[in-house]
Amino acid sequence: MLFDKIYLPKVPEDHSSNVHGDIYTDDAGTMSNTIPVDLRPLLASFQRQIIIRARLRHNGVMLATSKTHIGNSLVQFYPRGNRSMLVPGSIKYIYQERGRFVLAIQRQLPADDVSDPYAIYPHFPAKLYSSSLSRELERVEPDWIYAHYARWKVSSTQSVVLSLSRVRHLYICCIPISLQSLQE
Amino acid sequence: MSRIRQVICETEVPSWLNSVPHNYGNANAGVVKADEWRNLSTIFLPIALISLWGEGTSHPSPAIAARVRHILNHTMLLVSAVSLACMRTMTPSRSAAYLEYMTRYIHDFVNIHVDINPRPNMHMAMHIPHFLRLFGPVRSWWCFPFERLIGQIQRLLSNHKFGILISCIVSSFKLSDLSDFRSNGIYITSLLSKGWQFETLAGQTRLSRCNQGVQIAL
Repeated sequence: MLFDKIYLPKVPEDHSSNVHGDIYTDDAGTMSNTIPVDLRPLLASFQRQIIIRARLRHNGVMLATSKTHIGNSLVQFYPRGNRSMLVPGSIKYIYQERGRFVLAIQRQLPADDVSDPYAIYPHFPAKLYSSSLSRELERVEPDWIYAHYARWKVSSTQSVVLSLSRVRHLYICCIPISLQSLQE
Repeated sequence: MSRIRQVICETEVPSWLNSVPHNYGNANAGVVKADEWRNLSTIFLPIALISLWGEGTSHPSPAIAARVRHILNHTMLLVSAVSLACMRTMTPSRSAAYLEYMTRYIHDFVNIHVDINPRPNMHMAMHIPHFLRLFGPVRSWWCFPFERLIGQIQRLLSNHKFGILISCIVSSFKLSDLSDFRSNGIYITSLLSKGWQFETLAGQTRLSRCNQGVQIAL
């Protein structure tokens, strides 16, 4: 019992049973919740009603919308499932599509043309981005999520983004300065 | 220090990342645990230090700027080494990079911090690459699961007395009814597993220790 208390996972791994959400409809006159305007481009034209939820547990990791928990909404993902690049973004909606939940994510915009003081450390996977997010939403499947990231607002216009993946580093391939030059 | 606290308070992190004391550095912040040190040294501290001393920051004089940049680069060697050592997958190149960072860090330490003697931890840190190559990621062989178990056991309610010893069981049950004694399967099993056995001689039951000549009349 003591071992169970210490070593058993605190949360269940299976998330399939937890599929509740709020129903949003196209008709503003009859329902209190209407489909958000910015989400409509991601939906099929015939879709008049969707289910939106605040959280989603995927592979044991809690994902949430930015309104629910800003830290849990910050994720790096493979855009369109393309595994050759990773992009940071914030989850705005989690909605149901053909019986499964997908994410609507706003990308973190790149920083203006300024030097990035975080870029010279190849094994510290932080990078400077703009503080603002893209207006367009991107459809992302939960399997395309790579890891969470931490974000700190350096100034009103810039934020530093730090990958929290403990498997591999995100920005290591695009660092222009090598370890050798750091030591010199 | 205020910048570090600001970074700790303002950084948006997921809920699975353990929190770090928001008043870090104060006496009332309490003891910083190993996992908190890791998060501090690999997330909050480097973000704060680079924002203070990194490229593009302003300083009173070029000499001070060069000095703080030197200290920052030196600290980042340690940050990089710790980040690499804590990765959940390990490769020979990562192990080699860790060794290179740590070697450089220790080499520069005596030049930068002239008034501080090198610590034994520095020597031990140089053995880690060997273990990484032998056993893989630190997560599979570090002692934190056992530390956690010890912590839980320490927090268990106790009467500050040691557990029941064999002699205590025997002396207490010697005075009690044999049927009750036999009915207590836990103690019986415990005794039998330690070499004790029941003997009946001339109508009297005894508890004896195998091959040791110890006998207790019941």
